[in-house]
Amino acid sequence: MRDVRINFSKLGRLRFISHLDLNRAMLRTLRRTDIPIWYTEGFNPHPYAAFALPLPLGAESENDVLDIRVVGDIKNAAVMDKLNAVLPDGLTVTDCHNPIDKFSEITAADYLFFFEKDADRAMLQKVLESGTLLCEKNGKSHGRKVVKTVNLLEHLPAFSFTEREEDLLLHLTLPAGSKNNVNPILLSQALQNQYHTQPFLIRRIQLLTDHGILK
Amino acid sequence: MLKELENLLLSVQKPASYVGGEPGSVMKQKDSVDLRFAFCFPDTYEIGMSHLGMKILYSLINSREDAWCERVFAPAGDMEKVMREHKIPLYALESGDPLADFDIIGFTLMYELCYTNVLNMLDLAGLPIHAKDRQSLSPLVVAGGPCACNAEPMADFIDLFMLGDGEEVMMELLDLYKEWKQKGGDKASFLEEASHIEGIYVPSLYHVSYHEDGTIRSVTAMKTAPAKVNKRNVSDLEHVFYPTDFVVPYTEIVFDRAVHEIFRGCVRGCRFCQAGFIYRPVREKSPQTISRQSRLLCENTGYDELSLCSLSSSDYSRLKELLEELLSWTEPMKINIALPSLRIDNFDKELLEKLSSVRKSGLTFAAEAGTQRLRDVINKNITEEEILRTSRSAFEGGRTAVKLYFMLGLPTETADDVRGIAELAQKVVNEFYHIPNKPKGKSVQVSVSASNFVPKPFTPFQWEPQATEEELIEKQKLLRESITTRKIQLSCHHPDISALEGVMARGDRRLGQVIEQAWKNGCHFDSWENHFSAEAWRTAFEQCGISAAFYANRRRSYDEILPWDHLNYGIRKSFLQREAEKAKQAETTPQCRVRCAGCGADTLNGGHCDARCKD
Repeated sequence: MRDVRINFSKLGRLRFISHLDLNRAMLRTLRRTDIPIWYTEGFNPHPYAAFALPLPLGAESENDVLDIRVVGDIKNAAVMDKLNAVLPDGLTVTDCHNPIDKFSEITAADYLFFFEKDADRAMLQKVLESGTLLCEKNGKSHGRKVVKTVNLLEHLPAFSFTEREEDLLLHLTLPAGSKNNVNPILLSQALQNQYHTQPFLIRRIQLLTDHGILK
Repeated sequence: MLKELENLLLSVQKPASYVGGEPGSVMKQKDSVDLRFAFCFPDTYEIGMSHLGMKILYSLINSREDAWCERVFAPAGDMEKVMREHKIPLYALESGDPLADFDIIGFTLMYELCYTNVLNMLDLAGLPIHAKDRQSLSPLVVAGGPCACNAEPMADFIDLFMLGDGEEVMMELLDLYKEWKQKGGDKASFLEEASHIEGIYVPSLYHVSYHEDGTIRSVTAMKTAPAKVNKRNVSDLEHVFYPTDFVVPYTEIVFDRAVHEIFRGCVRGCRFCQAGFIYRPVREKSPQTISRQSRLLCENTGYDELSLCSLSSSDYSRLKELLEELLSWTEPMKINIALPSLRIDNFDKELLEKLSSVRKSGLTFAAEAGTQRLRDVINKNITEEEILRTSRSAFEGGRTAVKLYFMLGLPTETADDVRGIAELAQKVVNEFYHIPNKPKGKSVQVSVSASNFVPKPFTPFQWEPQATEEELIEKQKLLRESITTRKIQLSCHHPDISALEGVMARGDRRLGQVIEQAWKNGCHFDSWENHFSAEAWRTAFEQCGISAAFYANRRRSYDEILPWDHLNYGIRKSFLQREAEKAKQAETTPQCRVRCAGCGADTLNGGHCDARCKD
């Protein structure tokens, strides 16, 4: 029994698939292969799968990470080939390897925000440098549902722009993980609500730990 | 897919149900096929995707190289608003192309309350809702499903109906359409030719005249259409097409699992049950074929649950053999077998243990009526003793919840029968407290669900008046008052929804204008309690000057011409009449395997019925 770390992309219309739906789809995908998967031993035996960091509904991802558990002899490359043979359009395994980092070590994530070509770059830059972008968020306090106001730019993000022929790219690193997490969709909605500018697509590029890309 | 649509999707609930692309969905090049078929389910994605008939026909049509079948569902309110605001026409999930681009648009009519949704979907597609206003051959609007057995209320909107089993008639329809399309034939000549295919009913080729009192004087076939239309019957279930793959949805749907149909038809003959008659005769599939096909299905879909589907699982003649066959591979593959509508009283205990080894399902009894007398009237042969005995063994096995299903408003029902429901539920509660080793620290929960009886065509109760809304409200009140413990939880259906269902079920084609008016008044998703508007429907009936009571609450005489009399489902009217008379005497009819009741369904099946040949 050992864990295999799977790097995969989730692109295009698959961004409308929620995290729970993706989890179910991945378990079924595993069952469609003959990969010798390890089953949990409770009342409802199911394959073991753990995602590094849920992707919010609406964002696509170039490099997401999932750990599965296998039994018996199977090479990482074979896991990748078998999965890719049955994965639906939009989901592709890009790499399989032995896990090194723990998911709890994730501290940040890189995103690409795609804006229309005529988006106001100077304004966006000003907002990102201001360190303030408030949004209302449903949360819990002492077990009760409350609406909290949070500052999405509390930790000043690293960012850069690339102007391309067809669009304007914003490359953004946001805090991520269990301690501090900024949801890029909330950020996009706050930009729309307060500055009437919104990216038409958000893509997560990679997950980061304090010492680099999650391995 | 439209970029515009993608940007809008994040503002609606469950966007995944509007984008397609699920594993198992079929993509083809539209230029390389001759026929494009849009299979429409007039309800939301999570309901429509659970429908087995759609899965079968989707795979069947897509097995043809010359055709591409795609799926279409009714958008929920928020999505419809977005689509109308941005002028996005109703589109099919696979290609994203608007419905108007298709050759054939096929609706499945699973329940009467979906009729306004059909109109709404045609309108969302930008198509005229009336069949007569769609003059070219394409898109042809067809419909099938159980409601096609009396789809007269939808006659103004649908070009042709497919009656009975769809697998064969669908292929013949596609062949004929292809021929007409290639030679550039017109719609009128196509419809006439199609009416010669067994199982196809073209309503515009029948003229209906009425007596002064509103009843039907005559139904006359025009041109070369047959006077009586037979439903289509697939006689060889063993070799008929069955899908080896399903579209596996991303979002959760109502029934999210592999399904295999083990037999068609039913031997029970419960007198209120339309499905029990219109799907006759009984035709079984062999355990070996079921096992082989469902294994392939599980391997291709990755589902961890396999449901065996039929009208009454325990009446499958080789059930033990089938389960042993299935368990040989489902156990190692960690697949759970779901066996709905199983009578567990005389069932192999050891096998039952194995079935529930993966997951425990609930215990449900469809008692349908509260007293033995009324159960005899409706020919539901389940006894109080059986219910109590099975409940007891379930309680002893550690379960604490039992569900009981009943109907209110059954023919000959009295106040005693209604009170009988509460008494029976109370006895189940008592049973729990009588067992010495009852689960510690737990209370028992008996859920009573009382729906309203709706008389349906092709049943012995097709002549019966339906209980009025006022009567049903009274009965519900009486039942609620008869329950004296919190251990019994009662849920009732809305009488006004059942009333509308009753009108549509036995309606004629004059109701088309009411459906249209109701839709214009804003009605759709009528089967959803939160969408149903009794007021808008009442207004629609008034606007059209049509009495709902004429259709629902009137006793019909045996010699009245019924709106569905020109459709032949094999069931003899004389048999239904005989059953209706026996019901009045509370006389039961034994199930088909004990003694053939001579319903006549075998006449459409070359004289064969698997209920008679076996045992």
